[in-house]
Amino acid sequence: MSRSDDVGLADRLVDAALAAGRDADGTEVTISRHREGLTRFAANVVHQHVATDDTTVAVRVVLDGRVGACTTNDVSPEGAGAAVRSALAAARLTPPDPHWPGLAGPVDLAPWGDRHDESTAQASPDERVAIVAELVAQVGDDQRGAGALSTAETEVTFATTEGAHHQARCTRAALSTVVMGPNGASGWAEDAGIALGGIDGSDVGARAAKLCRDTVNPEPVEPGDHTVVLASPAVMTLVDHLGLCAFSGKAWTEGRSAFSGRLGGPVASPLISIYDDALEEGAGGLPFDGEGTPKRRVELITKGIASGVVHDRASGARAGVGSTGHGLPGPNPWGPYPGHLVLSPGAESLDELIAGVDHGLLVTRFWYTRVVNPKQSLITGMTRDGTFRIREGRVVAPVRNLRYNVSILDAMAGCDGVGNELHTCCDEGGDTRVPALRLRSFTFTSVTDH
Amino acid sequence: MRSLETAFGATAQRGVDIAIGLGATYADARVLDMAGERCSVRDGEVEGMSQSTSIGIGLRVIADGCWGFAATRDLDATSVESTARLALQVARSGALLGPAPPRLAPVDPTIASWSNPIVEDPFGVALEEKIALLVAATLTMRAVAGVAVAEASLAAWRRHSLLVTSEGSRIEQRIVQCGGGIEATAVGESEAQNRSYPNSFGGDYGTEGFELIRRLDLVGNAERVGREAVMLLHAPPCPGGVTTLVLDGSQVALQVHESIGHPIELDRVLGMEAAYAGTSFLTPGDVGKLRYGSPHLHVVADSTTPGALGTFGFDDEGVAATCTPIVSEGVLTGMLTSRESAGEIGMTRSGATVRAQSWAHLPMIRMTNVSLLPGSAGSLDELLDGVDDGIYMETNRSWSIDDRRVDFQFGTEWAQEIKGGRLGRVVRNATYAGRTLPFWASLDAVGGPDLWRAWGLPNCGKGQPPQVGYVAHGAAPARFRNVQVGTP
Repeated sequence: MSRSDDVGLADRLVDAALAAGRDADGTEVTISRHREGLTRFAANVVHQHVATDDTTVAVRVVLDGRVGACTTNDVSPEGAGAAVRSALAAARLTPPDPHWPGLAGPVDLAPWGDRHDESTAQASPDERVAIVAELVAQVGDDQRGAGALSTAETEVTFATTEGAHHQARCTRAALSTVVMGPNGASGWAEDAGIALGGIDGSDVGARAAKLCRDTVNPEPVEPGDHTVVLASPAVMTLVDHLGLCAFSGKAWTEGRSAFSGRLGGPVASPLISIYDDALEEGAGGLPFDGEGTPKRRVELITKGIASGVVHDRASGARAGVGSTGHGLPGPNPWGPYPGHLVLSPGAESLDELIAGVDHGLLVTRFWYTRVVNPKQSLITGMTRDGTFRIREGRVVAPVRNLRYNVSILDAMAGCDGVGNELHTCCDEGGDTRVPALRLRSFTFTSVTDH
Repeated sequence: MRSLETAFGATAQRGVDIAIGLGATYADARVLDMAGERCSVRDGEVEGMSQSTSIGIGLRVIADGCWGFAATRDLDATSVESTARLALQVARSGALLGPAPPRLAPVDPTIASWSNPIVEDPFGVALEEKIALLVAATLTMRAVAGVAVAEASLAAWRRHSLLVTSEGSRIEQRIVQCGGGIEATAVGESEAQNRSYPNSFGGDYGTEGFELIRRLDLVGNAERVGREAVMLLHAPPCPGGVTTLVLDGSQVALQVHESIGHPIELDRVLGMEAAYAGTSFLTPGDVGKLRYGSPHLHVVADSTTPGALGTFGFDDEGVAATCTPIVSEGVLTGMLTSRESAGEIGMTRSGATVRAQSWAHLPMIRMTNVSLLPGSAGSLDELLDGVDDGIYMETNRSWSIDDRRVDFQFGTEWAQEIKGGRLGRVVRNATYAGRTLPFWASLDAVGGPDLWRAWGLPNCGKGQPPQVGYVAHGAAPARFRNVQVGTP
């Protein structure tokens, strides 16, 4: 299907849905087309190779303050109409929502640049395999590489009877790999961006293979409080989990957030500033959220001071401040989420951060992190794919993986160094941009045998 | 309900035939028609009421020694033909990196249909009744002084599938599943405490009809759940140390999930999931030799368990549901296998575990109902008897395990001290930690059949792109010795 076919179909579906909703007080329709190709490899060969294409029509209708919703992938006008009728039937049986914030109205989107690369949208399986082959060529004879290269195109048309009408599309290419070697060795690397042309398979493979070679025969290490230098992928885990524990306006208004009662006060080192901005250069994704509200920048931690939370239409209405453009597609019982977090870079290179540690650990990335106590921003998880001992300002040896239990905000209160390079981290499919950090105290509670 | 065989059988067969005609050595086509409904209520107000439908076809082929998969929502014959050609192209591209010819364990061609028995179709129950139930449950929780947020939800799914393979299988299945739960949150100055029923993270789910929801009695449990949330807010932290630990069935189920269910996935054992989900500490050679736990440990992977969320008639490769012994008297006896992975290690039959989240996802090894078989303890009191000093923990709150499935830490919503064989004061923020094999070696008692039930987990994640799997674990309360517990 061509671009003009896509746009024409979306417009016809919007018209059909809005027409079918004429009995409603308001109708919202979202047409999403997602095409994805994935080349997954293990033991240096392709083992899962996929191409998928789907389009969904999601509608919400409002009737006397009652809200119903329905989603279908029947993209005929009749299918869109049937979805609206199902949503209307559900709305008629639903009690009125006294806090219904209303549908999005007409508003212009801020300039957000081009997030679409046609060659990525059209990427063939051969092109992906060629990049994976470049990666695998860097893997040593005693090593095995596993990973995935994906190319995806998303196009969304959003409209309401209140006058909102947005249309945007974006592409994304992402490559990540784990390279495993003898005697517990394991390295990891990733690259992601709007265009497949920017993905360098050789570079990703070389970085992971080197990290793997550097981690052969990891030494035992004692658990306890350590000074750590966290590489960007590890910092991503902390920042993303603050998104779950602290930055939701809904949890904040309910008193369940790590920021509840703390806005305006110190929560981290003055070196820490975090904001969410989908419009900044380097960010990916669409310029409006799942409720059709334009995304906008929100300062969350400013020089260590808790400075804000993000809102969707419901939480923003309850807080009396309006949406910040962080709503998920409705109906959404989970609340708003910041999907484009940035931790502002500082002044030190990774080597300088390491040079500032007498006794400590360098952590490449974390694994299987879960929230233990959200109000205390307490999380647990494991290190993985490259953990090293630092002595007198130098990386001296690989160590075995450790389990950590830390309060993110308490750990960030002890930050005394921020890296000067911002990396886009995409391993969990997110769009988080962070530098490396040096934290004076990080609590590890156990050590593995690998 | 229409027959998928009648509506799309010829189209699916055409897709398979095209793939074989173009040189594929194997092909299958899977049409999946899915419907879902979800209703959530917060503090007496409907927060979300949604329905969804999705239909499409996924074609899986082997060509030039590699797998290829392509999927489309468009079931028009022309579209299915081009999707079959795309699957071929995808497979042949993979061969550019070097073929890895799959050796598929054989399966008898099967022509069959299957559906799970239900008493009451959840899609047939009036929406007003479902909403009224959830509203009543949340208002009952909110009536407890100190409860800040009360939430309740119900969900139901219907999956209607047709599988056509180049080996002659044609299988049509209709599976109906549903479940739900309630949760109360109490908020203090520096603490927020949750209490859930019947399980956390959405409740309990099964391959059953609405009779499951009625049996749960969400409203009847709401006041207790609210009261316990408030009680937790004022409870002391769980004391630390190495002690005897008694877990309720739902937490045993998650322990089985993370430290037995995932490690025995043969694709993970063979390194196929290394990049994302990690590997396993197990090797194929461990089967029949490795002592996984104490003689009290008996585990099966049983996709025939009536009503359990991981139950089906045939997996997505057309292999009939079966019961595979996994651990017998503490010794590892089996793994979760697909046709490909079983063939790779020389097995003659797949264990029937392969499933996909949707028509657009590649089928892969998933847990079915990986269950700890009941023991002999007739009651929770019997498990507590003789425990002078210990901790009882109930309902998961957090979970984490390393990438080889060895080092784990779990937290629970609810915990009580055990003193002199009896449950004592309530403690909060309880966690326990350990390593897989020593932990299961410390198992010294399991509740009997009256305490055993299947716990449905509708949120098991695996694969790239990530797929959600519906699995279950039969479990009863169980007792473990010398376990590290405490409050992080």
